[in-house]
Amino acid sequence: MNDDAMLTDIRDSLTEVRDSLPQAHPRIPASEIIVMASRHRTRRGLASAAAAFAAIGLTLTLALLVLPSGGQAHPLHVHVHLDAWSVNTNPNGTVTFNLMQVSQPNQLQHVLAEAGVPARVVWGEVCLAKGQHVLLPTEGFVTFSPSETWPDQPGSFFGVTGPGTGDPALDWSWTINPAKIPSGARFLISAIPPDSVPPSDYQAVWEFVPESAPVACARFTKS
Amino acid sequence: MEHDQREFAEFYAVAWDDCLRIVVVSVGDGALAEDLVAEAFTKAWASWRKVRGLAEPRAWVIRVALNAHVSWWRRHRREVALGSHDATATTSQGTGLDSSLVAALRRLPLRQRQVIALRLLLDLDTATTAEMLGMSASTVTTHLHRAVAALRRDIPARNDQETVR
Repeated sequence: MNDDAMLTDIRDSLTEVRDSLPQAHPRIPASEIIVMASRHRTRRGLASAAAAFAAIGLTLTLALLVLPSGGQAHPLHVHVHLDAWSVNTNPNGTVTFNLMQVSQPNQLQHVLAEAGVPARVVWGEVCLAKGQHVLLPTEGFVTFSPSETWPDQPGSFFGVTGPGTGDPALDWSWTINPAKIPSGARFLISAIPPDSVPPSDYQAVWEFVPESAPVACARFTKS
Repeated sequence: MEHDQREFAEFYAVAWDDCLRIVVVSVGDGALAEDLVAEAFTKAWASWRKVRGLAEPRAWVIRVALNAHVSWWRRHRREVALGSHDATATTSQGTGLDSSLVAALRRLPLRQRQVIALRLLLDLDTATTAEMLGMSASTVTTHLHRAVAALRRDIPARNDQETVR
């Protein structure tokens, strides 16, 4: 086997192992990473100050102690643009979220969380919260397009069926005010690749439901 | 400052999965890899003004995580016998990794592992890999050839064993 073939062989083996791992998203939010780094910096700063200025007393140390900020309870300003989706925090604090495809669902879920929008995102199955009255209203803090097709109903739900049924392609847009999202509620967003769903089945669905609501996911869901 | 935080948060969200996968493959232990990557991102934020300007910030995170793994291993080598650690790492972490390939990768010297991680797993070109690792392009090529040859020696051995059975 020559060098190039050997390199290709090893590259293929390693990338196969890499790609076989399940998709992961960070369990620690970025805001916590930033806080942790500040604490590291503070410890380093304090150690240096103690070594260099031990004779001066507490003045400098006390000044350093008040420098770092505490944990970030508020959502971060997020601006993430991918081909499949984008999430942007607006100057007034609302979040604009566009969805063309549900790819990289874990990253999307994480970015939404960073922006202050709790969501569960599923790709490959359509998920529905179980229960007749499980849908929660979103009036006053969510605007959604295509608004002309958004059904007027007590709870918030929207779905499109497979190709060839007249439903538009997945091109959804929300503007959400995170400050007004009720505690304990979240968006449930799920979709299936359009080329693998029967025309009469749901291809994509979103709803706004309690976090505690049981959820049923399936590869095929009749509309 | 707020702009920097936003920029870092975007990088963190988008780069985490890529970095974690490569570090998992390189160290063979999912939980340890997650800790190493989290620590590396913490350092990335601490040096964000520098890291943001690099040709490939993900490569910086991966290099720092693999360096930290060496420090971690040095701290623990007295406490954990190599054989039992390997057995634990390849069977109990639930990563589903090809254990013989990962074990062979772990036996490589750090610099060779870093070159494999950046050149083959992150798919950087030789020049960028060299820049990120602070070595010349010819050194990258040498490390890569040696690493591939060492890995190749292990893979046919494994395949032969499976064929004999």
